Amino acid sequence: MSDSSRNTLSANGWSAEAITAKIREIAKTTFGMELLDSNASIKDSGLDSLALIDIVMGLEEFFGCQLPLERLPPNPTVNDFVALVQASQSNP
Amino acid sequence: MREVVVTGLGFASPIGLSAAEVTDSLIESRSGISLWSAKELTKTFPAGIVHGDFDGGFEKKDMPYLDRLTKLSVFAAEQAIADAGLSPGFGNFTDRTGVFVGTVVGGSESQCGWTREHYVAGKQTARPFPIMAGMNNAPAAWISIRHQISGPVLTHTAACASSGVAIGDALRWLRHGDIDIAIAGGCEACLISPFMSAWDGLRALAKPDPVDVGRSCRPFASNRTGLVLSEGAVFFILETAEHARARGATVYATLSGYGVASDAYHVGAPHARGQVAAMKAALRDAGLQPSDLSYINAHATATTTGDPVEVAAIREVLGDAADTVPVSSTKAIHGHLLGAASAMELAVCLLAMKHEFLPATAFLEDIDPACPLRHVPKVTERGVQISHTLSLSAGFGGTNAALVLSKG
Repeated sequence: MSDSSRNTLSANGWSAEAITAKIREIAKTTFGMELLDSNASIKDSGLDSLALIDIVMGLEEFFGCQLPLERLPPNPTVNDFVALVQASQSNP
Repeated sequence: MREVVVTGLGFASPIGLSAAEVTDSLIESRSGISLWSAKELTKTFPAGIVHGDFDGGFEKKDMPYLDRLTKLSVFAAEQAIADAGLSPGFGNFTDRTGVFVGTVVGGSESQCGWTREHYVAGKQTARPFPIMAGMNNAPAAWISIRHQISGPVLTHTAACASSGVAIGDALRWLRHGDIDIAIAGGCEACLISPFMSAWDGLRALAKPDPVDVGRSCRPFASNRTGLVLSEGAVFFILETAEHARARGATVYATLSGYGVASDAYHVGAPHARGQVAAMKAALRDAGLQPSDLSYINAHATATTTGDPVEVAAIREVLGDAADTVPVSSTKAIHGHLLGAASAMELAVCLLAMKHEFLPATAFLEDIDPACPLRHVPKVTERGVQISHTLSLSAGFGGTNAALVLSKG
């Protein structure tokens, strides 16, 4: 994730659309991957499990939250990541 | 015992990105050494930098895993594969093929990048990639993954003899009949300030030549000031002669001898006895007498203490032929590629054999009286038939590797 995209705001108040946009931005910037279908398996698009961890780390840094990886399903979608971030908003 | 031949060659080197470019540089004694600097260091150093774009062959999703070391290695290995007429198709050999790589420090940019983030920025957890980008066997792994090579995929580290040992190990696997074809060579990519400053601590690095930095590395010369560090990757396709014949491959030369021996003396100072033993073992392995050699590419890094020790070792091995067998150190133009040094210098021998020239020790004006040999000073000698060559590499820690190439 580039320095310019860092954000020190808490995740509180971020919309699903904004979180989705951030996930797509990380995937595009770091891995050159377009995650256009939010219900599709991210691994099926070609990203491996370490790339998923890197996306989680990017989201944690941007939203200033902790995201428990173990709550993600084995083959997560963009929407699963959005739900994880939103869960951290309600249970910071 | 099966005969093993060289059928492919690939370079990412300071003196060229192809066999043709490297050959031209050797013939013209064109230096690939330039001035290296980093914002963290007040000193500058001469260094052999590899120029080029090495990102092109990779998908962006793989980039976080890829240190410069791996990129250079894949570039050179795939050039060798293409040169051997194996693109596509290497994967068809499955577990009857292997990858053998020598490196000294591994993916130093990745290792040091995380170290900086941790110690300087205080980061507590790394991104998921530095371990796999920085590990020494990453280049071998990527070559095997990209070309579906499922036999032995091995990485050797023996300081400056690393790729000599890797190539020697490949030779043994091939001779023993366990595999039919291999990619073997070496790599290094450590021109970064933590590594350069650590080397500076050895007081062994050359001073930049004040007139022409490209002339800073002067093996065997009275005015030598030390070694020049370089980066690069050099790979060979090695295969059994039978396998090469069966697929109609063009053969560069026979890899006829390998010897490895250790000084068992000092971790940082060489002793002639290990070098002598390695060269004698390689000649014995090749079934040659010292006088059969047409050319020796010496390790000669241009340090004050190292060069005379090696000269004494070469003279002891050559015996009566010590004043007639030509010897040079091409580090004068390509510098010291560390983990790729043996591979680079074996490749020099191969090109010298193919194009019939004796590569010079460039810039060798005033020969150190402590280094008496049949030198090839300054200028490449053309039109020289080369039947057998030997390349010696001597590493910190005392491991020495010698490789012999024979024509045909």
